[in-house]
Amino acid sequence: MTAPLSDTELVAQLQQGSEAAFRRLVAQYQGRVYRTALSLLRSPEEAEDVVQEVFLEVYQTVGRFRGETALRTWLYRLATSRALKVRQKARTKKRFAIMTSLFGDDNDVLHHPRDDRNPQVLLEDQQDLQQVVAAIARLPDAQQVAFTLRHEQELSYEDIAAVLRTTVPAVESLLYRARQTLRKFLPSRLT
Amino acid sequence: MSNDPTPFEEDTAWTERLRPLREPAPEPRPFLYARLEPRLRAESGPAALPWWLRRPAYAGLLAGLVLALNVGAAVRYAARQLPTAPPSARYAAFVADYQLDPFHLPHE
Repeated sequence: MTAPLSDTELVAQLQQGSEAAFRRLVAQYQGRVYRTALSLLRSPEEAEDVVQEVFLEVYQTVGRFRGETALRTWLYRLATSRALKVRQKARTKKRFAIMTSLFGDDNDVLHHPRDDRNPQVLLEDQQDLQQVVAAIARLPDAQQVAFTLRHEQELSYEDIAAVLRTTVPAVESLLYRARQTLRKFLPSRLT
Repeated sequence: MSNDPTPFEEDTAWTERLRPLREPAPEPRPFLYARLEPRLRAESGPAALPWWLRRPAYAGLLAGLVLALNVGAAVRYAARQLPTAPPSARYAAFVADYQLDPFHLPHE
């Protein structure tokens, strides 16, 4: 069994181009990076893509990593920014798809009445959770990142502040606003 | 007295409410490193080429531009260098054609 390495030692070995160190980094952090991406994207495939992109970026840029932040903070930062980019792209695509679907081949306006029926019969708890997840997804980016890092990844306020390059009071404010917004989106029994 | 939860209570309550999302902790599919490795190899391989050369459309466009500039320059250069006879040679031909006596032009 290999002895655990500190992040500083791991970074030093990575900077020397050690493949073993890179394998260790991936094994050690893939879960956290994946869960962070998943909490923002809610798609396992997209989350795995983000994980691969993050480790690829680490591989390419670790030489320039000066250790001003902790390794895990850097990884959380990369994961959140990549996930937000993916989501932004998906939103743009969706908007474009909606625009194009409004017009048929003969440019007639097509009306798609909104279908609010749930196609599956789900347990009440699952439905509630789904509703909460959907409401979290509607939060503005910064609030959503702070909220998911706090309540899904269970990061401390200090860690979230480091990931978002901000202060602890700013994180408190983001979380407060996120909860207020969720109150508006959700029925009172869920908040 | 207000019954609103304190920020600490709210914080704890939300963490508790989202517990089903993290238990069991979601993990990526097995053998992630095996899927990542080919991408690493591709990136660390012969990547000395600049990004625009790795995209054939950009490389083609660049080659076309270089070619067009070269052709343009060659045409321009050739137009400037059309062979013209020196004035004295023209007069000599005129004298020979009309079998005139040799004479000196005032400016020669």
